Amino acid sequence: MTVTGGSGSNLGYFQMQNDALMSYSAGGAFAVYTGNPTVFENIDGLSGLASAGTPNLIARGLVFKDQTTGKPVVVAGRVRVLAPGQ
Amino acid sequence: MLVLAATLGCGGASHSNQSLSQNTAGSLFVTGEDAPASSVVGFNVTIDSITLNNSSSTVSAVSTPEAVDFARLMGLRTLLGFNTIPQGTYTSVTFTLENTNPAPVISYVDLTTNPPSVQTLNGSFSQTTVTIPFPSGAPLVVSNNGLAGLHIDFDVDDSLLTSGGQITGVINPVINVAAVSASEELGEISDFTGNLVSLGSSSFQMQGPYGMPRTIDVDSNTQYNGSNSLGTLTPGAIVSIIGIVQADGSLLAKCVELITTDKAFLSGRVLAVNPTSGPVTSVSMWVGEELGTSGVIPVDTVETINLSAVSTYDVCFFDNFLTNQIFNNTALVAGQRIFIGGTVSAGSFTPHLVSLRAREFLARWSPAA
Repeated sequence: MTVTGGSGSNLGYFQMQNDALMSYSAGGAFAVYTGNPTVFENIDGLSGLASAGTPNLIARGLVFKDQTTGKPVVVAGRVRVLAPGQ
Repeated sequence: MLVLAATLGCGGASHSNQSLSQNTAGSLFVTGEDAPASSVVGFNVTIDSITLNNSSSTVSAVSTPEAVDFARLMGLRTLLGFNTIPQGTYTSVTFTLENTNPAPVISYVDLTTNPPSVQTLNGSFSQTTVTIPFPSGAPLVVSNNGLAGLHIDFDVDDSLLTSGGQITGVINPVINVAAVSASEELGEISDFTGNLVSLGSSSFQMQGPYGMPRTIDVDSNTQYNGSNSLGTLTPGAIVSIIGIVQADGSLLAKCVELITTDKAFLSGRVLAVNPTSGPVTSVSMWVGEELGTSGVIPVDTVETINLSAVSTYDVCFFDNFLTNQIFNNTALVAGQRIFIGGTVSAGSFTPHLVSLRAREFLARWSPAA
């Protein structure tokens, strides 16, 4: 978990895996970038995610190509943590 | 990327209701989305009917069989139905699912081939009738002349049984339901794409998915891509809408994207790009949706599309000076969901526009690298 915008900011990124095509394209885990307009549901932003263990979650966003690495990254508009068992 | 993340979004719009003439009934809209599965790109199922239940009655919310590819939605919400139903408080929903005519079809990415390919298999529901209660304390309430929403989240990932990591084809339907209002985020329609039929002074008629004709209202808050406006839209154009349902069944558009005036488009996931660096000249994509191309590029196929003549690249509902900087012919990559607008002539499809679309990812996150 990397937060770049200072305390209380949601500007940063985390990593996801297990989406077959994205992980194939990225060669492993891929980055999900968030910003302060990113809506976090059932979790208190990036900092909450950092302390939440490994919850299942759904991130919604656009897939862009990182021009430096050539790998896909996600710019998230919404991050929703699923309830246990969901 | 962080700058984009800080600015991504579509402006809001107001919400207006109109009254119904019936005194003991209200309107119900039904929205569908999916919880995406890791490798599944197509999950075609037919819902024969949807009924709402309480202790004393059962009413029909959807009575005509509706074929839905939930995997195509990739976390977006589409409008599945709109009905007038008796007022009341409903505590559960019953789905009747079709197992034979037609059988469910599951399409999944095969990463053992290069480039990745798509395999399909027929599925079978382990049970064709399922009743799902609304969450405790949150029933669906339909009031006189009111507008209520039924949100269906088909959990594709949890529904598909696997053996040794392979999808078996057996579907144990896991469906989450919720009562929603049109104005809340879960009630918003985030994927409604179809042909523009006719234009009015503050609205247009659209033939949407599932054969659903719909009036689309626009107002001063409605955003358009490019330099478009209501005045630049033309009958026959293919447009995509984000909006909210109104009590008369129309949609109030928050965003209108003109995809093409050329009456043909494809939508799907990029499986591979060629070349892998520099300007992309072609993509291999899973075609999950099409309008006007069925004769040359049918749905549910893997196709290689020549993009060398495409000069217009859009990012859906993100339209400003940054758009072309962040998405162009050097920015295509496997995993993206794209729309391609173009023309069909003399048995071939000629693309003119590529539009990057939002999608969802279901996964466990791993602490930072």
